Amino acid sequence: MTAIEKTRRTARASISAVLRKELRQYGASGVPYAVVAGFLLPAAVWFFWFYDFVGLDQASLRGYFAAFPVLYIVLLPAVTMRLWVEERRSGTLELLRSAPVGDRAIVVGKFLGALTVVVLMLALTLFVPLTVTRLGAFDLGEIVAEYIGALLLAGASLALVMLVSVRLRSQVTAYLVGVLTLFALNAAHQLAAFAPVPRSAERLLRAVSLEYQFRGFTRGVLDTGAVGYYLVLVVLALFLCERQLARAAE
Amino acid sequence: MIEVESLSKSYRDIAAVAEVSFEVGSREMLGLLGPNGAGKTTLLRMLAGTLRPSSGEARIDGHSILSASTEAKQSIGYLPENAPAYEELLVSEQLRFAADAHYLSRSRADGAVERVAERCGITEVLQRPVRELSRGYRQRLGIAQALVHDPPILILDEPHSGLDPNQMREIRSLLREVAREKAVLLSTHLLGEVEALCERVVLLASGRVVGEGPTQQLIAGSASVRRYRLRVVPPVRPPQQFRPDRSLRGCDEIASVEVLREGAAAVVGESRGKGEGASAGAAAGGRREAWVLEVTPAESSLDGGFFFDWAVAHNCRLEGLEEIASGELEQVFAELTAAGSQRAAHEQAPGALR
Repeated sequence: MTAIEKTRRTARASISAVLRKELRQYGASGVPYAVVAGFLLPAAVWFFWFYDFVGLDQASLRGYFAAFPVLYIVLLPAVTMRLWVEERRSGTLELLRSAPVGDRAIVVGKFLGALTVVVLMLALTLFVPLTVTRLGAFDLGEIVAEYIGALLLAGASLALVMLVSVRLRSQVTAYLVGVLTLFALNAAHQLAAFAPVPRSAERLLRAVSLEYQFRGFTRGVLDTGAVGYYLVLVVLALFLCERQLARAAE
Repeated sequence: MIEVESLSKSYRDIAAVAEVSFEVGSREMLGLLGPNGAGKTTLLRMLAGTLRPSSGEARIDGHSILSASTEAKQSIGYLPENAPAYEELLVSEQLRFAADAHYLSRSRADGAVERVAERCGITEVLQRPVRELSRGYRQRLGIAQALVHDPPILILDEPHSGLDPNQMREIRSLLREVAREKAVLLSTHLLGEVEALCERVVLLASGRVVGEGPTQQLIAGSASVRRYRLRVVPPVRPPQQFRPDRSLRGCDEIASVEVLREGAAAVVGESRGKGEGASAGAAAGGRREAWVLEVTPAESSLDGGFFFDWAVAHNCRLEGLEEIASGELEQVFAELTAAGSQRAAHEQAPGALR
């Protein structure tokens, strides 16, 4: 086994150890059940009641996925708010960091744990397309793009709320800071509607807006720019998270 | 197994740990003592790899905590203060995570969890959530998770905290057993535990080492705790007002004198107590009673010969001289940590000479 293979194997084992621990904690905490219920019910009520999917008579789930960014703002900080705060409060962060797994594995393992909750949540939304696609000629490609977009948006949102809560000491603060961060980044492009900004600034606000980038996916477009943007956000936020964790030990 | 060389940690201008050096050999249990704020936990955190030192170096089983931190971490089992654990997990899951985080394979991890649970006496609570454990079981779980990957070195921060006497005895017995095969660095406030468990001790005060050595030697070597018990008969003839306690207090070599029994002139024997002998004896003016004194030397170099010389010089009869060997670590602790704190305060004072 070469040194690189050994390093990769160790990294995988480290991430896997943290991930398994996170999943056991999620399972015992009840957070995923509350979050899943808190997502599925409002999304369905919105789509079938307020959006009036049946009355519109359109073979598209665009309205269903349009609610996702708003629900993410409210619910995803609830998934991550305990990740750092509880570790710090109970002293287990010290225990975790004394293990040879390393800060990167801790950050990535926690991120993947939170993402698993979101994947479970998204998987349970499949009952909507599975139910309604029988009613008309839906574009399967559009639905696949919508799910890819929903997953990427969730990943970027989770990484960001993990980053902003890494040094906080209260779950309430972590939740509120998370909500505010996601709200600001989702509504960035709306600023142009309220204040006169230069065209270049407007373009920039649209480019950084999580919600604006998501719109393409809801139309069935797999925009590589948007995919790249979300992935860069994930990597950058997790990298900064790792740095923040290391700085706390200095 | 643990080599610490001039390890320091500063927060802005405040030195939490300053130039600390010591070693812990294999199968040795070293006690780390110091008052609150002495820097013990900071020092242990640096050794456990959760806090980066400002300067200095430490090697864990030959691995540098700076350049080979992963290998160093793999070689230690660490119990942080208050035995933290994940409240939501079952005890078995907590141990399993500790095994996974130290890269034990699935098959090895299962066996290791069972073995360590049996060794630490927590088999019966393996399927209970951590949040339901008593303080004693939590401490045991903390030690078990530190032992699960069978490291050659254990670093334990206050493993006895919050335990009742029975639980302390159980933990002491467990640590004694563990120390037969591992190097253990034990930080505790309980001096009795250090005396009972540790062959050597390092005393910290204000982030500095103020005392180090074999525990018994440190106790015996402390000037203020090596005391002498004297039975002295003062001269029968003048000066009548001669008091041996006052005479000894006047010597530079003596730190303190405690009178256990005040002698007085007596007609019969010297066995009578102070109350009854004093009046009768003083009136008779005959043979005098022995005084019993406990004397603490000011200098550690002072030996019993000094008292013989003193007795001859003052025309006293020295009927008994006994060195009180059983000093208390508590006194060593108070003496050395107070001196260390004063020295640190002096060195940090503006314009102080270094």
